[in-house]
Amino acid sequence: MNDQIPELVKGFVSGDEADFAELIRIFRRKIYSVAYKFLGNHLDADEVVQETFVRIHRKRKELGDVKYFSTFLIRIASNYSIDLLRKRKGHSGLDDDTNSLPGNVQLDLSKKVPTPSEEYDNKRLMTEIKLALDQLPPRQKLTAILHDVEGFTKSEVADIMECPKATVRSNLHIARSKLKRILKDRL
Amino acid sequence: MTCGEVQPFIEDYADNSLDEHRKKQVKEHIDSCPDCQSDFDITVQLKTLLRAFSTEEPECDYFEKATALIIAKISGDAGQSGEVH
Repeated sequence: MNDQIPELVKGFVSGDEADFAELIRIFRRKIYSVAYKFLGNHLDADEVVQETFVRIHRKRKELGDVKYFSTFLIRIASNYSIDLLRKRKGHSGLDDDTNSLPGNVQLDLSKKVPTPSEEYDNKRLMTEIKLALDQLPPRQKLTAILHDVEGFTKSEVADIMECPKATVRSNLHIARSKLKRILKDRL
Repeated sequence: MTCGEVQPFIEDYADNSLDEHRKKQVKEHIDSCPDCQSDFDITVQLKTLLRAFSTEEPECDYFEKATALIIAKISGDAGQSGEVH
């Protein structure tokens, strides 16, 4: 599937709307997943998905200079998610440590049907992880989600967040140190 | 290597992002140091927990509906833009 992407991007840049629709189909789940984990609810994740593709459509002329389409796309989604989080929390400090309110944490039930007891335990665990992530400042939270939850490499996270790899490493270390303290009963 | 020298590399070791030479040095130390072994184990457990963090799939037709909405929005923009130009 990834082999198609350069050709699809080329088609999209030159105005092929079918190629753009295919790019949406390829990337919409990943964007939704990052946005949901960062913002904690479906409505905001949906807004990020829609706005990201509308914005990249407007920026299509710039895409000729973009080496990696997927990280560029996730960057737009991440920046919009941070803006939305600030808006929802009613402040603008990028590095403040204010805790956010618990959101609606849900489960991945697709792999098997859990027993009620397993379901309860899993739901509780997911809630604990979400609350722990919510205690991080936005950029540390995003770094942890992109690297440790979604599996992007440090180089990809650096590209997405437009910062040096050393900054990603540092943010990740601080985020993990906090998460180890918050989740110590689970470790 | 001492504990102080190994500590900055424990997370990179857990991320498997060290070069072979450094990886060997860190492994040798961790294998013989319970404190650093414990730090490494906790890092791996945290990574395992975070990797398991998942969210529920949206309704089955959500992505198709969202795609249609995006395309409609863009077509609307293009229409407006066409009128201006």
